[in-house]
Amino acid sequence: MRRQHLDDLDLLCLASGEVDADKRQAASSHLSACHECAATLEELRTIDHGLSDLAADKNSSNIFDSVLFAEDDPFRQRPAVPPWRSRNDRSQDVASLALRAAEEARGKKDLFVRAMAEGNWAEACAALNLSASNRLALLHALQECGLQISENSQRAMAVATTSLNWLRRHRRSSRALAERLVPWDTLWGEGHLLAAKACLWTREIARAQRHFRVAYRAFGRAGDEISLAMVELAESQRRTFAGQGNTALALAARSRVSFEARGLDDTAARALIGEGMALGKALNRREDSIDAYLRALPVIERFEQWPNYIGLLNSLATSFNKLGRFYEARRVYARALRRFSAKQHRAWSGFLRVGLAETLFAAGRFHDAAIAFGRATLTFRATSLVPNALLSALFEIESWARSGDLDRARRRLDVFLKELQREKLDKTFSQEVRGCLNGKSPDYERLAALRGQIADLPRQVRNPKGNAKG
Amino acid sequence: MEPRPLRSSRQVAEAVLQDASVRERLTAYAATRFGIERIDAEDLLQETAFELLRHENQVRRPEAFVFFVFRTRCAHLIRGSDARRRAVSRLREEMEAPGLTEMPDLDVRIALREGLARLSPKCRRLLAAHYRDGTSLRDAARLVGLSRASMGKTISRCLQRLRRSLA
Repeated sequence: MRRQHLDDLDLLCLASGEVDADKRQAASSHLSACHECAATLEELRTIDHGLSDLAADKNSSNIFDSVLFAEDDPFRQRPAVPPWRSRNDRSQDVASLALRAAEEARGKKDLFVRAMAEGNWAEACAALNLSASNRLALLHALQECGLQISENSQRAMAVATTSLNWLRRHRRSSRALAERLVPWDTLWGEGHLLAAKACLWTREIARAQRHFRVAYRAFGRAGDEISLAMVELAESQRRTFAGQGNTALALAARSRVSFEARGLDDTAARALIGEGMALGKALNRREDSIDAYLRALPVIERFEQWPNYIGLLNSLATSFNKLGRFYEARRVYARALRRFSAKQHRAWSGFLRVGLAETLFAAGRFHDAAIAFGRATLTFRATSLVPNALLSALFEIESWARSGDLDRARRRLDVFLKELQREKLDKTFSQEVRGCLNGKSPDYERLAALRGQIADLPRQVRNPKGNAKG
Repeated sequence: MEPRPLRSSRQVAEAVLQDASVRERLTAYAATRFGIERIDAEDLLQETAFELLRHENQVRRPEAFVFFVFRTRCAHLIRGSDARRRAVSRLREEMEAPGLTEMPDLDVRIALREGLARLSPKCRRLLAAHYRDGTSLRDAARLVGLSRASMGKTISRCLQRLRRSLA
């Protein structure tokens, strides 16, 4: 009886060297007699070598990554830079005009940022034209607004919407120098990027996606590689939230290559954090995510980007905890707390103490957690971060109760309720908290729900006192 | 000797736009490294300075940034003209040697890239897991959710398409 042909899977395994000695022996004897299979194996070897080359070639890795994206995904490949065309205005006059516009833009940007912060942006921008200095000032103001989005995402959305409406009205008023210095498409893209980030902050994932797509197209038309990479990094975060880990990872890595090449070390480190989040949160590759976080950590420290630093430590500790490496998670916070000066970085050290306390809480070390929450509460109170102080105090009460020290939990509860009165919070809330700790067995589920209510209080993490960089 | 003080993005942009010695150095680099004429290099320099001004708040090492962006812009300009030249010369070669049978590596890669684009998302994920992430073929198949029974069929279909793109 004639032996069956080898199937493609066997042949590809053979070409890739993925078969054991016995199978290889059997395949060899078949191949020596079957020209058809031998020819197919040759073809598959070519494919195997070609695909290995594509994957190993650093310059092509993005192209290979693009196979992870759906055909119609606009992020499948970064838009090609528009073809270069020669200009006719190379004179020193153009240089002087551009530098003068940049100088004017500096003062204007501060005015724009103030108007945005005070909610007067709609009135302020109504009278503006699209001069070179106004464009540059607006671009920098929008970039700054994006960096401070954690302070007030609703305000950021209002600024983005107003700016986009204004830009829509000035679509045709392009002046040669102004358009070269800051293309209209760059401003359009920056407005949509800000809107997308604001949506991401409020977890409006679908709405964020629409804004990211428009921003990506606009920056592509402007040929602005850095901004394209910025969109990729933020879109990577959106995909991590949406559970699309593979493309989230590919986008963060793609953006990092661009940042590194341009010497934007701190932004490249943020992209590395993005990779860590995709690996840890969406792909459940915790070891790899820890590796990415640890590589980003010294850079974020060096550039003193404290909000990113806190987020990074929390993510790192979460990954350690998920792997059962509780002591390493604790060490991460202990090291950071030693590094932070209590006076200089008082507010940030509050967030670190909360991170440490949550780690202890998750590990069931309720007594230690209660002490850590207590310290965090004191720090938040000293820096006027009232909602954070209340949340931390509630956690402290629950930790004392869970540790078995109900007397202490009730004593802390009295202090907590007085504080609620001072903040004029809803009386029923106070009663409910008290109700949770009545009797011998506290209602922890209800307490956790009440914690959620405190967390929903308006964020007051605005430029806390004692913060080194504001 | 005292170390040179670090310059801000604004100062570097100003030097690129107005300092004759800086401009001379960079245009000379463009000429020797890429063979770009001075008049075009001047244009690219202006664009580079404008890019620095747009991103001045994000750039930490403005001098390195200027050099990288300028070099990339030079390479992009040359690539554009090189690509045109290559396309013309390839067309000429094809007309002169229609019986070419050996496929050079570059063409294999181009053909595979096109072939990859035509594969189903599942096939693409499988190949990415195997070739990019280094997972074994059978593990890669499991990762993308292929059952033992459908593994062989799907891989076969996937390879058929790639073989067709090489044909």
